Amino acid sequence: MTRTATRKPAGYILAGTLGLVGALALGRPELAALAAPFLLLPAVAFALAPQPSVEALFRLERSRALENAAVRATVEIVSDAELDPLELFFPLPPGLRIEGPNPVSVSVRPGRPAILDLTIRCERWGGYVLGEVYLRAWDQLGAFRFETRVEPARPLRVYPRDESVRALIRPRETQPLAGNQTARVKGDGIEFADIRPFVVGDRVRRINWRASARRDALWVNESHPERNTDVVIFLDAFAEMRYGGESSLDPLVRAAIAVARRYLGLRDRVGLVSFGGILRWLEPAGGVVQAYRVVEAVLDTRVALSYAWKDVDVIPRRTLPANALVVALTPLLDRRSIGALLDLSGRGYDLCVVDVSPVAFAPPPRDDAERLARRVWALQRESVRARFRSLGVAAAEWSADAPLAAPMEEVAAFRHYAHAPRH
Amino acid sequence: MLAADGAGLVAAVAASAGARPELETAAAASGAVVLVAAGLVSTALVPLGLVLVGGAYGVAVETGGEGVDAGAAVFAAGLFLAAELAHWAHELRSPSRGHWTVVARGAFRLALRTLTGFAAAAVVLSASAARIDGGLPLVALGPVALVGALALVASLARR
Repeated sequence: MTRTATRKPAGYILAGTLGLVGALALGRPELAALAAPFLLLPAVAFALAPQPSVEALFRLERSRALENAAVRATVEIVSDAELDPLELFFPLPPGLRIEGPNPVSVSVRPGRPAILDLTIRCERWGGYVLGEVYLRAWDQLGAFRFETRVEPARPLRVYPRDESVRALIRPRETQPLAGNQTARVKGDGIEFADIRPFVVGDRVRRINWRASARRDALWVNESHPERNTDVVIFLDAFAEMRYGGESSLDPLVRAAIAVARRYLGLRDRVGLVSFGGILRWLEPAGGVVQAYRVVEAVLDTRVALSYAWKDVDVIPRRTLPANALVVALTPLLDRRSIGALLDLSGRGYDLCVVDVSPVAFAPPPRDDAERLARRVWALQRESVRARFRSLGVAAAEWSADAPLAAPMEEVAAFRHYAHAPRH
Repeated sequence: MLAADGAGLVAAVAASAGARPELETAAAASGAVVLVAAGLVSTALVPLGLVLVGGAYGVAVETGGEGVDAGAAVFAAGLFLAAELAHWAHELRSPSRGHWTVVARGAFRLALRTLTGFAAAAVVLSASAARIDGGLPLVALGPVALVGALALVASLARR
């Protein structure tokens, strides 16, 4: 530990010295007596000052937790000198909070480990590294301060709470592999599509006997095959709005994980593009492992300030397969992401936009001018969504206090009735 | 904490008042108030208060006569207690040190330090009462003792 003298001994030595000088000058022993305690304390403190060596072991009960969950942590402190009190301060990143006082004091006896139990409340999703502890102690006379910092890094992943999604957006095109999505094309499958005249090579079991009897010729049933699809979640991480400790990125991340889990549950392949100051991507793949990959990738999503113009050309081609359904989750705050989405639409990607409203994360308007500005902003956002719709791209606004199912249904309804533009 | 600080100062001033009343006591009391105020603002100002109170006491004993003030050890202990309380008040500002067990242990140590301070002052006073006729060498012993005491503290501080 680093040893630093407090202000006390220096002040006492100064006062004591002046007392002694006064005693000599005036020839009064009372002043020497007055100075005695003030000189005795620093002398004893300097003579007996310890140089304690402290070790702190930080343990986390688990390394993964859900948002708003509590994680128990234990700090074991061992010292070769008596430290009473030993003050511990845990500089936690925003999003984590210690339930109880921070800093906290413990009493440590030499050779006897002191155990400190902590409860850490995970208030916000994210990937954290914990374990940095500042230790501070004083000697028995208060003349010295001992400080050190221990940094036993312990990772803690806090997963966002889930959003409920019942209906998913059906893709325009499916992929060749089997899955749970009913393809629009006709082929071998369960879902009835149409009937057609029998041709050589058709299976007998596919003959529709009722239709054949009515037409005096053999007719067979046609069906839609069940295929899988590629879904790419486009996460707009260019900008965020923060208010009251909450960020517009939070519902965005929750929605991304919920949508990815649902599609992966239907045996679809899911990829991720985190489009922002730092570009992150995950190529489409299926299975449980991909679900974990998506969650881990989303946890690392941060808004990194960047003024560089970026368009879809920076996204690796394999991340955006042809015929993939692109589900864009965006707060529509940055022109670069809006431009990239328009570009994707222009390139023929099956795109739908869920506008995760950042309005709730703006401070409430204080006067008429701010109220007017808020209305203008809302109109601008509506005009952007209208622009997407005019291009045949479904765009729906989602306020985080409403269920995610609402914009998903709105997008699905738009895609059901609207015709996709021909490219 | 302020009350405890004030109590320590009142004890110090009372000790002074018992021996040297009137003007000097008022000066000591005003110095004590400065000490309290200084201690509440910053511990760096505590020495200023100590010097003021000590100076007032010095003036009081100098103008009081030739005899040695028998209450000097009590005054020294009271002043020491006040200074310790001023520092302790700052330490207790940390929320982690407000727990009653920490405060109780701190109070016990403070009492122990005050008693030790009183004993040290009493030893110095009793030493001054010894009648030794040594002439110039004994007179020179004072500055030598002062320099020696400071040198000792300085050498310990360098360790």
